[in-house]
Amino acid sequence: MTNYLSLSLDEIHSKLVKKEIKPLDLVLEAFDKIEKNEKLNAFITLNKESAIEEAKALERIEVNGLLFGMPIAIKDNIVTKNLRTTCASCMLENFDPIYNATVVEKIKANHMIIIGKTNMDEFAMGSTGETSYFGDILNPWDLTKVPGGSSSGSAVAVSARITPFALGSDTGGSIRQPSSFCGVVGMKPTYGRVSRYGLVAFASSLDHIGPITRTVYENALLLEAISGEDSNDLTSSNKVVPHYVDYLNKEISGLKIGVPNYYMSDVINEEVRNKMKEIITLLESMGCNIEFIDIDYLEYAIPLYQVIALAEASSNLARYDGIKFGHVTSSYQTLEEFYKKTRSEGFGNEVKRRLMIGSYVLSGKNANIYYEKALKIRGKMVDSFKDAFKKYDLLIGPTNTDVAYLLGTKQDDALKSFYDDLLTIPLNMAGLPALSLPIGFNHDHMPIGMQIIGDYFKEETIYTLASVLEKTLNLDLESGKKC
Amino acid sequence: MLIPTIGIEIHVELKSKGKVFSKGKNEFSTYPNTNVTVLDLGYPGILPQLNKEVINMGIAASLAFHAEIAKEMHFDRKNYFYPDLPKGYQITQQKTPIGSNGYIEIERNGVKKKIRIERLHIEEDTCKSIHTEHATLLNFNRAGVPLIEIVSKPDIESAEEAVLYVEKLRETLLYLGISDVKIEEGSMRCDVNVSVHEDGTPFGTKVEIKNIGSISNVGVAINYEIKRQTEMLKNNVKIVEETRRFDDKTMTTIAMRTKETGNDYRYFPEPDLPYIHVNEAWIKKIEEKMPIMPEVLREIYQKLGINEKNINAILSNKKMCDFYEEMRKNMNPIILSNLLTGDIISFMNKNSLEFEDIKLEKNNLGGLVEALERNDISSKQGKEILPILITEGGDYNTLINKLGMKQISDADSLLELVSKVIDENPESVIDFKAGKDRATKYLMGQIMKASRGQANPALVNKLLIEVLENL
Amino acid sequence: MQGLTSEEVEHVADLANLVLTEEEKQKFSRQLSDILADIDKIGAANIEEESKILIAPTENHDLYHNDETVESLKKEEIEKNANKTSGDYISVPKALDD
Repeated sequence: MTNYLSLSLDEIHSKLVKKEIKPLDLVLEAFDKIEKNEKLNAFITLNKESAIEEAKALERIEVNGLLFGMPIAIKDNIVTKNLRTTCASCMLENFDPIYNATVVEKIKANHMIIIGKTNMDEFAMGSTGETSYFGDILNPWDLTKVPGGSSSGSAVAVSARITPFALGSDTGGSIRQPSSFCGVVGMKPTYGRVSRYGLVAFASSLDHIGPITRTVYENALLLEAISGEDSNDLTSSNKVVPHYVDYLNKEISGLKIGVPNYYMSDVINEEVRNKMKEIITLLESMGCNIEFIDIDYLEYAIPLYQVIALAEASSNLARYDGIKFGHVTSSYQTLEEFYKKTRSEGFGNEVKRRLMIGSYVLSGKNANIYYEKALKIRGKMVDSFKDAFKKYDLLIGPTNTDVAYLLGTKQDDALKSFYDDLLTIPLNMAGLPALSLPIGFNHDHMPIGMQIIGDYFKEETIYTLASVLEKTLNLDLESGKKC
Repeated sequence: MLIPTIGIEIHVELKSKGKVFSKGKNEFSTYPNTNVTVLDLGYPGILPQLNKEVINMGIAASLAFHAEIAKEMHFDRKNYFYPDLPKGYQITQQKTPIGSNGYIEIERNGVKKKIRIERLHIEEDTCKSIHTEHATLLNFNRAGVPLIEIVSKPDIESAEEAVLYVEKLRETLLYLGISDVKIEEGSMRCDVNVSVHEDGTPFGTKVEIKNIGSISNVGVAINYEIKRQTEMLKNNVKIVEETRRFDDKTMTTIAMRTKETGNDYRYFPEPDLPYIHVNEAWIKKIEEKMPIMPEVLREIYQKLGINEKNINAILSNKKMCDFYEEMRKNMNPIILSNLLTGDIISFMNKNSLEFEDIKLEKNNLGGLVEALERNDISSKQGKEILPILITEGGDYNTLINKLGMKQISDADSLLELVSKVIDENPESVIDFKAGKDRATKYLMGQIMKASRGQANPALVNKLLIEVLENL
Repeated sequence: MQGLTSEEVEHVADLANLVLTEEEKQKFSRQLSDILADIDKIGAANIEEESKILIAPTENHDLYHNDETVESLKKEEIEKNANKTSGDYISVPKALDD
């Protein structure tokens, strides 16, 4: 079996340019690796026939960019025309979209090749990869552990070097948390940087699409490719998309960096905190000015998420009624029964629980007591972040409170999936860009991730710091070697 | 004495080219499911658009109903499950309606009354459902068609006032040109809230009536409901808050099945649509393009001396009114109004035509009005000419000549005719001398008959009197 | 927040248009109560009444299209994922009680 997909992007690209290899070689290798890593359960649907066809078609085209011919995995909540999109739910088990998400069009315009749709927590609800209708996803660093979620399969595919690129979505940490658990680079860009058109909505005001990659360089390239204004998404920004790779490996001396005290509290695993302290020392030695700061209202992040995300979800998932698309029950007597059975059969427990909470917080007087108040606190929290960015170029902290844990640990704990996202949710609330970068391993050789948070539409500053750290730390992050 | 309290919620479909939150075509009347986008189907992953023309129309309606226009608006989601609601929520304006605190002035027996309008807001229509024996069939052409909902305060106190309110509202929207406002076709829908209470006590429990299919049935439904509720109270039966449906076969209201959670709409702001702002400049731009409102036209027409019957008939047909407005300044407005509301409307009715279907070329009708005004032709001749003018079009004078209807206005030849008829009717001359008016009329008739209607009656009359007096 | 009663769980399930078995009601009762206890922190938070709500973290505003229209989906596309169709319509089984 070939192993081109473990080479650096520039090496693969150069081989393509010199015609030493063809896109088809990369595609076939990706499918071989999927087969070899079948137990990881990273994919729900493979795009084999079309991918091979597209790869062959690319042989007739000049290699015209660094992303040309590169295999990419797409999270299964991003719609792909004529390629089944399930959201890892029984509800959409046979859903065959009739249009492409904007990011999918952009991927195709860059001549990247979609290998398949990755497994995930059902409707992106969960943080372990265990709520999928299509079975648990495993962490390639340790098959007894969770990969994190909800973009589990996308992080796993990149970590196991099945594809160098993947797209994920992040509503409360769903790109950054699995990236951290799997030792890959995951970016949740600014809200509005990447069009959400075609992302199956979970919580509209918190949902983001972003790149998951092996390296910061690849991440910067892919983000540039998928960013930009989209007339199909009125919340997408018309701000110019920078050429992010120009900002890599620049001088970081003099950068003003804040560390929110909340991100270094006792609830964070000690090994993770110590690793973070090492990084802080390292950055100081490299000339960064680091200060510990307070951001207001962070302690409300989880209840805010429970109110806002779940309320929006209860509305966004109301369209699954067995009429226009999706699962439908086979026996019923009344319209009410038709609806209720269809939805109860189609959704898993995590989703049901969240839909009930979401309906509850909007019901009657609760809309004022909880929802409206939550939107006000959200505004306050954002103000506090904005104040911080008047003083600092970046904020840093751990991505997660812990490293990946054993499968099945928290299955009956309704709160676990929320508390896993303690440090990631605030950035969805604020819409600020944040990247998870691998910064080392714990005693068990499980990856630890750090979060680099930038000001609105300042992804380039994040990439500068991330690229310098990546180069300095020089970690071996290919997970497959251990299995 | 029980007093009825009535409030009306009216949904009106707007005539924009595109839908409100998608770029699907707003052409509901074509074949089923032929104007449908992924957005209208509520597909996973879709995000709403916003059609500026709908905001323009919302501003125009708010201005016409004297409402305050919101400076900053967002949209809200109204959540409920129903097969005709593709996304499981309707995008509407709960918190920030485009218009608020307006009114409509109605006039009854010469007394004017303002019915206050609480709010006007923009929202999307649902699918059209067709119910068969075994299934409900969904037509998504209507899904996403823009609506404005106009909610009155409970200021209406009788069925008559309600009908006047709906008629006035309909007339105003028709003049704005933003809706077809056809209640029979569903482009206007009236839901009525009715309660009754004893004078000096708080308002009674309100009952909502839906599915009223004509303006006159608004009155019928209200009267039925007032009677039903009054009877209930008389018999000490408690009135429950419920939704009832008007049944046009029995002309009664019938209770609809209600679900306990049916009214918990769980509104929250629509996160997918950014805020919108309406400034003075935008409002002014819309204001400048607004047509003259019927209430203003009515005053103008009254001053011109047009009778009430004619005014009502002209104002109730927007196309005809536009025509009248264009023409009336160049000719006798009274004669024109008589022609339009008399012979032309009967021609339309007889042939089942709309005003826009008939060929009324301005010069032709102008020629006819002038001829009638100058008494070049009799009104009887006018009646004969009009249908031909409508069906054949063409130039008035050419038509008159073709029909041999040209008037004889030549005094010499007319004098010959007058003398001849007088010679033949000596007894009429005697009558005339005896001071009997009848004689003149009889002689006039004979002369006109002898001229086969072509004689200029005014001139004949003048000549006849002259001759008779000189005898 | 106290544990939710079976009726309360049933009510929220009803709002979400779900039906639960007795066993599920038991399980969800405990889990929902845990989450609602968290959410009560929002109810208890001290925040000025006049604070502005943040609906979505975007500075976009006043974005429209000018009454443009696009072609309709084709019949095959409209019906591709539909559960049931009849003629040119998407069909919903008639509820027996309607």
